Amino acid sequence: MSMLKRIEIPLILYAAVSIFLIFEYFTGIGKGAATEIIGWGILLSVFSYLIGYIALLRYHILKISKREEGWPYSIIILICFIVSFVAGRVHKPTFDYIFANILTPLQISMLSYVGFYTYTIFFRGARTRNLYAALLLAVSVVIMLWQAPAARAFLPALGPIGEWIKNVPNTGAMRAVMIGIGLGLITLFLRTLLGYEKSFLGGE
Amino acid sequence: MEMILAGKKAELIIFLVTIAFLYIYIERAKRGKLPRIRSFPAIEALREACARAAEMGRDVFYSTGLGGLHDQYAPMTMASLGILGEVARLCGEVGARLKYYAVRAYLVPIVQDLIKTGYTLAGRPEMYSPDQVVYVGEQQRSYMAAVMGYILRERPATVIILGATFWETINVLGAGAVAGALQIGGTPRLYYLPVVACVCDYYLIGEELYAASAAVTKDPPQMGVIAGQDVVKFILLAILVIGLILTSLGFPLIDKLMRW
Repeated sequence: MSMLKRIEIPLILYAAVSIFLIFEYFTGIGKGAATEIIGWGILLSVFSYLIGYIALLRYHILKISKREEGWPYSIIILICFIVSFVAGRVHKPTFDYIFANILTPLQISMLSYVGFYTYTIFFRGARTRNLYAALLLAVSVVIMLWQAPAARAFLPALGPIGEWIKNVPNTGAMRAVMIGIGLGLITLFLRTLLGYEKSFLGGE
Repeated sequence: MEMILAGKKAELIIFLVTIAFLYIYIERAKRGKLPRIRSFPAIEALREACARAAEMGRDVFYSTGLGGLHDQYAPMTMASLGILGEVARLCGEVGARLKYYAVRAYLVPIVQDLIKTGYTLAGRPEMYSPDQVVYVGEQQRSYMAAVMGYILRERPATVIILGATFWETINVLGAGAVAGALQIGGTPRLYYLPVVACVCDYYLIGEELYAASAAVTKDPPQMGVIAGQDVVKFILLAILVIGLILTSLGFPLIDKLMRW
């Protein structure tokens, strides 16, 4: 496909769809069509799974053929992929069995493991390089303690402090960031509409 | 005005005024009236981050988060892809390897193309390999497992996470901290801002991600956009202050405008 078609056609489609959706948002006209368009977007993204499957197979087959570090794990991935892909389309009970007895326990194990990371992130990685970061870290600790019933039982003063932090500085900052985000969205919309933002179409 | 739904008239006016100001500032910049743009330390640190990876002989890991181009997080992903193109070019210039883990299948060819173009623009097309983009499935957990495993095994010199981030960010940044990576983060997702600010060496807060994706290009119209955005912020701030004063005096202006 020529560069013109590759860039111009998607940009025209983007402009037409986004302007229509904005029109529908403010007027309420064409609500059915807008819902349909959003549905199309989700459906199209499902078709793109095929690209992912090809990329996944290519990556692991190459890894096995080159005997790169950890290549036996790639064999396991390929077997799992092929078995679950075929079972999902040919034999539903087998797929359900895989889902309930292999995938779900694995996911729960993963969550348990990373839960440890989540709770220890500040001890492991906090970069308190300036006063603001130190302040943020201190407030985070207060809020974490405020959320813990045991800490509140031992330190009742945490109650009003936590409430004040949540309702005053936190809400104020959140609103300011929200306004900025809204503006940023409009900016990005205009930049894409005028053709300055093309990265989502790949390299030029 | 009757065509416009009740409660959305003020919103539409603000939207149109914002578009008008942004357009005016783009045109001004195109005519050579370049605004003075505030600098983004996170963007200025990108070269240092890529050079560090090249010196250490390790990867630069880049993530656009869990968001895609088909959902409400599309603008964040688009902004992040814009910065990814620049990171790819910088990696090409200094000779660092860029690695990306895709959680959305359709991002695989887009990112491959961006990385290839970046290396080509930097004069090192031979450094590009399609394997730099790895697809790990559409699930947050598979993504988290794959990325954390990669970071702890390969120990990339730099971890960059910009875009629509979710819970996985906390753990990925945790793994990056354990690996001793220089970390750059940024998201307009409010819940994850504190983590990004605490754990990253450089960060972009809220809409800075959108502005930064314009700033990396150094293109005059893009810089005009940032200046226009700042002017609109001042106007909105003025409306809020006036609204606050009038509401305190018993005339709820903002409330009336929101219901108009």
